[in-house]
Amino acid sequence: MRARIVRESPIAKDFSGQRTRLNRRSSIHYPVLFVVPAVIIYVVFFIFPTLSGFYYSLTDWSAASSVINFVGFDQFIEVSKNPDFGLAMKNTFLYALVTTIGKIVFPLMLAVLLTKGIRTRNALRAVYFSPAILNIVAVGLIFQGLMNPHTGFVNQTLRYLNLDFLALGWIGDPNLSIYSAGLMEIWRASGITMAIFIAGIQNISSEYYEAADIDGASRWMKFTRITLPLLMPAITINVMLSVIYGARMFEGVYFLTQGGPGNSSEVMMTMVYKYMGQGLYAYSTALNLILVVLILVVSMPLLSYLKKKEVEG
Amino acid sequence: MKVKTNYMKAITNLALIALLTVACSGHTGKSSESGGPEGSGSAGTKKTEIKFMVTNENYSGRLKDFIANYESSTGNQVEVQLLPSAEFDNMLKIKMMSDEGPDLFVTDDIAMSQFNVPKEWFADLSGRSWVQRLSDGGRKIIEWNDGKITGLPITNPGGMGILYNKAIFKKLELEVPQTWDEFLAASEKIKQSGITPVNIQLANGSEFGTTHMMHQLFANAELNRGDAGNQFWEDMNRHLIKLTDVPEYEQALNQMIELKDKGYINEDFISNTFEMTQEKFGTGAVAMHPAGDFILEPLTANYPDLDIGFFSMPFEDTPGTISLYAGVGISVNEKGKNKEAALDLIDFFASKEQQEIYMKKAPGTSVFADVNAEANVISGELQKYMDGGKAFMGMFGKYEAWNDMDARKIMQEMMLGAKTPKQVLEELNAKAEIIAKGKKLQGW
Repeated sequence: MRARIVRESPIAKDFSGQRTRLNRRSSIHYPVLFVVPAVIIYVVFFIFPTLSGFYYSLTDWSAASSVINFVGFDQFIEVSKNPDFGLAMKNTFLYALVTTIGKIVFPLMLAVLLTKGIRTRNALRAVYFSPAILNIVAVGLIFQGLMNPHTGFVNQTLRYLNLDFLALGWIGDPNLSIYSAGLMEIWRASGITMAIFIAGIQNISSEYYEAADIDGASRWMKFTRITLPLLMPAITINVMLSVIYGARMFEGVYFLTQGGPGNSSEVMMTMVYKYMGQGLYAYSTALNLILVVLILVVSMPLLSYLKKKEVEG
Repeated sequence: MKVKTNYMKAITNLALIALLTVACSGHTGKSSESGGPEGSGSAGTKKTEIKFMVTNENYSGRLKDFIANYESSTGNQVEVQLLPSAEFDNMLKIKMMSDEGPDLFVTDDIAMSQFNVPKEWFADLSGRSWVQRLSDGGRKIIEWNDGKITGLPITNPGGMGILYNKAIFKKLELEVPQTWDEFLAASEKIKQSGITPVNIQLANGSEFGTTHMMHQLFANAELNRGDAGNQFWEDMNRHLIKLTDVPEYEQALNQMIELKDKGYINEDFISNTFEMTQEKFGTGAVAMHPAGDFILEPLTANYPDLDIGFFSMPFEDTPGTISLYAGVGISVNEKGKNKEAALDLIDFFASKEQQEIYMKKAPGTSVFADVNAEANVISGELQKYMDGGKAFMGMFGKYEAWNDMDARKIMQEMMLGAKTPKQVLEELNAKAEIIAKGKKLQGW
């Protein structure tokens, strides 16, 4: 290498330097060319709308006037006075909590069972996953019929079985409607979390279980000491997705209960939709921004906590 | 060579498309001169193509017939742009804001449109000659708060009252109740006979069946103020009077609760839909239902022998009032490219002859004094209320900060026992404030 350098003429050296610079430049250009389109799309379709959303929440933008004035935090103050705001906040987090628990516990049990040597496991996996491919609007309308307190299939069946005390007001009872919406989402989306759990369980080395068998560990101990700790990355993903999806849920509530009866199952996104429809654009943007901030406030510490619980497999 | 051939092909295709476009534009342009023998009108007259945006649901047979009449009489063409009602408002908004609005458009309710749609979209029709022919009651239905006339109904305007099954009333020897006590007594007698006295519907999407009862009872506030009615609405709209300050409103809601508490309302109201209502009313399972004449078409189609009557729900010791609605209206775009032709079409529509043809196809209430409209089972009675000064426009056509969807939701809560009438009014007031502030209304 050194001999070659010695033999190089000053001109050749110059060319070599140029080549290196060109190579270095093209090696920079190459990834930049790939990144720039993605960055442009990200900026145009995410960063810009997000920032303009923040700006518009500080204005009086509405369908009533084409003039937009800066009003500071007035919209946020008005939102806090809305009689439905507190209830919508409570319902949003209740819905996110209930659906997250349901979409973790039930699918985890299914995933454990369906990774055992059951002969029909593949068919069962397909059956449990199938609701996830249905359109949520269609699911909402189907459940509306099923859960109708007077004519719905659920209550008709319960009454037929002489279980009248269980024939509840599902979507007609203000105390139950938000839970009914949560139940529908758990049924619809459990297949997805189950699939992630199955993939996670299949990645756990069988050596751990063999060692545990030699040590005489029970099934419960193997589940709590091996499966759960090594499944934490999958649990983290499922929890985070479920919390965020649940907190910004719209269709699952709107198409089942329309936020009712009354406002009993109103969530933040149904409120955003309602006021956007009424032409109060800045007001609904402020509501949306509050939701985004709250999701960040909840999900960031949660993510950090769950990450700490993860162990190397 | 291949590339060149393709290039040549592309140029040839472009030229052909350009030629075809030019050739076709003579037939699809906004307006055209018909001077040739093939023209449908007389030689030398200017033919205009008027753009009319309407919802699928409101493009009725009689409207189609009217448009055909107009086209054959004038030689003008009407380009009908049909849209489903769910998309209509947004599409109209986009077109209007980009100055591509149609010459004619429909709105959900003529009176309500003054609050829900920018006023500058509407051409003022108050000066048209046919306005003089409007009946007092008809004018009351379609005019805006500021007295402007901006549209004519393409669906029959009407009133919300109580529909009742005459056969049940006759069998139980009941008369139309004139006071609230009489109404309760009649309901008790109906209940004792095993029939549900009053049917309401509060399933999602059908809650209007209950706000109809609320609106007719609320209308007593205007009746009680007599000549000060206009001042009352002015004060309401400037927030000098709040919803909670009007004693009639609380009384109206108390009456509704009383019906439920006494067991005079169907138990399944929270899951009861418009379709279920028709079946119950049609089969005689319920005796009374708050509604307007929009229910008649499906009801009489399925139950042609049903003998229906109509009266106002009593309020305290009075017979009460009817609450009016204007119906879907046709209006002229103030900035329409063919505004004059669109105004001519409205004039043609308003003519006595055309209105009589139009009303003959769907009997009901006409807004014109000189139009001989065939009455239906509601409109005959309604006319008496209107003539007697016992019919008033509903809140939705008078109160700028009103949102009927909020009211419908709150009705659900109230009838389920989750809110008292006082709480209902407080909440309605709070929600009206949100809308009013959003719209920057004066005084809020």
